[in-house]
Amino acid sequence: MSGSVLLKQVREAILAPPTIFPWSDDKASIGPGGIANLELQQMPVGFNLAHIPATPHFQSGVGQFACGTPKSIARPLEEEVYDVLADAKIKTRLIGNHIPRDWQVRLFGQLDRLHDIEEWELGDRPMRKESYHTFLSVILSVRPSVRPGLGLSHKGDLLGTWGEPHDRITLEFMPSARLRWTIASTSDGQLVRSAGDAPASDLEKYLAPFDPAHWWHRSAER
Amino acid sequence: MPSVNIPDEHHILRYAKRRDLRTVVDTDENEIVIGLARDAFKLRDDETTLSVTWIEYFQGDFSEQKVGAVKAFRPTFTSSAKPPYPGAFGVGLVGDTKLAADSYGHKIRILHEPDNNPGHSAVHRIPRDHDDLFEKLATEVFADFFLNSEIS
Repeated sequence: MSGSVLLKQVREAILAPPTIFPWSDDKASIGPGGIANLELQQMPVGFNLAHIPATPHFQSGVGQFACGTPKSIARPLEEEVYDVLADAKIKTRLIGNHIPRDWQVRLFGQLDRLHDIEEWELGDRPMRKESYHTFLSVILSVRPSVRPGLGLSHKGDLLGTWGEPHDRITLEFMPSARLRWTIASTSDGQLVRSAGDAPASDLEKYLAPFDPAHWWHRSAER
Repeated sequence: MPSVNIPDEHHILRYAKRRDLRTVVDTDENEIVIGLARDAFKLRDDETTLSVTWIEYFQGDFSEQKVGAVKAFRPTFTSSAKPPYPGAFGVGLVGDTKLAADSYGHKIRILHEPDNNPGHSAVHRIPRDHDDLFEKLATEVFADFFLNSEIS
């Protein structure tokens, strides 16, 4: 089966709407190894990976979902972008009962706009899959009611910003479940900046002094 | 023709693609630009200087000079020259740019080097990897910005 036919089937599977619930009270159980090793039996109701035929491209377990060609063969950028976006959307759908539906729809639109390669330059890389896995882990942990504005580093790490021009936090979602954060806020007319990096699992500990809830949620929701 | 040092009290324009912008989502669920991101100031692998456009090179008051600078820049980055005119431009003072780099021990020079863009200028000796400096440039020196789409 050609890669383009396979990717078309993946896309159709993604678009089949799963059962979606509002933010669940249960913490998402994503198993050891994080999002990348999400097992098939942990899929939410409604998402049927049976749409996707078994081929040599796929191994058992969603974390091994592979849509591309061997690494030794350079792929066109368009194909890489498609692969990355498909992976991101599948991973998001697989934990769909923990993320509100409207959140998902808008997030996918943001990711698509971010990957408009027409204005990219030589060396610009698509989002790294591992970066998106870190992003999902943080979203599941923090459960922000506000979506972040998104950007991409040259290396392909996803950047998410919450807040407003004079009080904002930007998280850089790196592979291996690491984060870098930068905070900029204006106090008494003076700009104050803070930065750091740590494992994603320690995010709340390091951000506690800054009351991060005021970024994750609008004041009326707190 | 020798390169000209741009005066410290003059301004330079730096273009940032969509992916190099800092955005937030507002109460209407719209993604809005609040500034340039750090990587807007990072050299590409094939670059040795950072390209900017000298605003005061162009004629008119400051607003007209900015428009002139944008229109001179656009043909050199073709995707920025077509609707919906993506990306944004950061505006910074030459002197503040130098001070920011100097605060991290880097003595940069900003020279007028016209090419297809008559206002094209180059920032020399900017470090290749210095996230703190780039973050300072994005957040403080080039905090003043406008969207490409604001110029027809």
